[in-house]
Amino acid sequence: MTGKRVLVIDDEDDIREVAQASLEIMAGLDVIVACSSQEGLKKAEAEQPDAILLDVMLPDMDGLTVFKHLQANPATRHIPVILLTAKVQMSDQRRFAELGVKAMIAKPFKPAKLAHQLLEVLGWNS
Amino acid sequence: MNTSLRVLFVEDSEADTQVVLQELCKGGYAPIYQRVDSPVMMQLALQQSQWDVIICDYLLPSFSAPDALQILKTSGLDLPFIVLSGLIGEDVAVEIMRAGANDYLFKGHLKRLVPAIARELRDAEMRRAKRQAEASAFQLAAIVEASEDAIISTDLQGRVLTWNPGAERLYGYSAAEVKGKSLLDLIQPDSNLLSAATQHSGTRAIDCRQVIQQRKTGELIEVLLTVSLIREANSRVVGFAVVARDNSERQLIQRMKDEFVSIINHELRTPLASLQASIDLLLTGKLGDLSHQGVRMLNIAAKNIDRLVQLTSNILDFEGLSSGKITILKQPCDIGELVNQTVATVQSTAGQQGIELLVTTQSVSVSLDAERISQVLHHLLMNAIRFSNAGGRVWLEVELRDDGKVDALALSHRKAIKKPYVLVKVKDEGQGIPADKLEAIFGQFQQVDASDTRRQGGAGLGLAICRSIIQQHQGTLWVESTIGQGSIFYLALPVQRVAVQA
Repeated sequence: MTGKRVLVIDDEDDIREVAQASLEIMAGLDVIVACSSQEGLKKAEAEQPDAILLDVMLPDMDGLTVFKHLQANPATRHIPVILLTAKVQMSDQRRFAELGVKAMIAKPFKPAKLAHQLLEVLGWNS
Repeated sequence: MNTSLRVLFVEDSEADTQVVLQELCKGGYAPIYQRVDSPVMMQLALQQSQWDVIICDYLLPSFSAPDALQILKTSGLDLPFIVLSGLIGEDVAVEIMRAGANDYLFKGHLKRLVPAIARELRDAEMRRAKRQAEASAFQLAAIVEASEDAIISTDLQGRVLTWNPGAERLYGYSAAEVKGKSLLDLIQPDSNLLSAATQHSGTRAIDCRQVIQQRKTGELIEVLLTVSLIREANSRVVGFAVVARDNSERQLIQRMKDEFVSIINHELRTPLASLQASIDLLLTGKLGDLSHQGVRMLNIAAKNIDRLVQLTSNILDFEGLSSGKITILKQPCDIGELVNQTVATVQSTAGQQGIELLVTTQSVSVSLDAERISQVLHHLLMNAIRFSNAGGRVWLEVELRDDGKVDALALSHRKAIKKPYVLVKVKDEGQGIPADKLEAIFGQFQQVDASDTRRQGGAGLGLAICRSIIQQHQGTLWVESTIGQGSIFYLALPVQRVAVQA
């Protein structure tokens, strides 16, 4: 076990559950979940996770706005954010990278790959 | 040589008929004839054969010339009808002419016969030509009337001559409102379209472009416009033909397509993501043991979900590339290194299928979008592996072509490839591709064989995507193949700056 904790913010129940299971089973991470951007912002501040896996398309607020809120809050600014998105394009990737997004992971994802990518991006591989 | 003439005689006397025939022969005709002397016989003759002229005796035992004329009218045929009589009063002659006969002659004075027939044949021919012209004008008018497009004709000054219902719908003006008015003042002020058309009067369709025009209400509309010249028979230009198509409908379709793509993107891929991840998690065995049969079933499900995921990715890629939403971002990149990286990603698949990969590469710096070119190389390699039999070999070679010689390879395939360029060859020992499919496989939803879709997976979009990517690099992608021996895919990419190492 890494002892690290990841917050998964996604409005789709099933995606949340499989992402949680993937990270717990394949990477040995602790996972907390939020099903809306508001809940995500609150939990990020209160629970202080080591990383956030954030869906780009949330019904109440798009992922980028959530990210900007996280950046604007001194209590959450330091938490690395990885975006989960249905389509990853180089141009988007660069734009998000410039804003400070740590990485983008494409949906659909394979559990092992999701876990591997997350660990690698956050430098938790060792 | 005598002119053949098909004559129907309505006549009871064969002797009289022969006299007329002689006269016709003398006049330069070679008559083919039939003689009838009853209404029934005449009707039959008109139905069964074609005639140039009818020569009718005024009075027959069973009927008369007016009756015969009526039978001709009823048949709907337009044939010269000449009345011949031994005795006929002027009042009767006038009456029969009024009833529709073309001429009348006395049997004793046949001199006028040949000129009368010649004149009547000419007139009949003119009437036929006129009827044909009217019919064809009628057909054209029907097409113009029914057209969804606006079809307008103007004189050289751009004043409206004709205005079809399509134009009424598109611009909101009725034909009566616009007749004689300046077209451009109505629909496109400040345009030099027609004057430009006059200057290009040598060509046929002189302009086809997308323009913004305005409707009667002042609303602006996007229109695809073609202007061409109207010429008279002596090729003198007399006006303009303007065809305008409402382009906003196309844009509606474009929007619908975008929405559809967005639905595929989100609504289809989100459930697929859950399916894929949950089945893969089950297959790890970390959620408990599964029976052998259970694992097999899950593997089938996983394989088919992978196919669906690949298909949606391909549809999105293809749509993105063709609509310009996916942009190619070129940066200097070592293609040798890119090839090695891509080969590494297919190595395990090749190994599982017992295929040997033989790679010869060299370091060449090429300006390219590494992600997209890697996608193309990956697709070509996976195709080569998929279509190879176990124990087969797949070759990949990278070669810089910059030897200053005439490029025999490019010439032999009529590919205009400017040197220097990098040529990547992917060769397999598969079943090969029939000659008539060598181009088609680069089209959308194309496979060599429909059964390939089921056997090998994929929707036949992969090569269309590859070609689109290569074209956006100003490169060329093509294939050579021999049935039973295998295929070679060639990928040529232009090289700007070159750094070569052996």
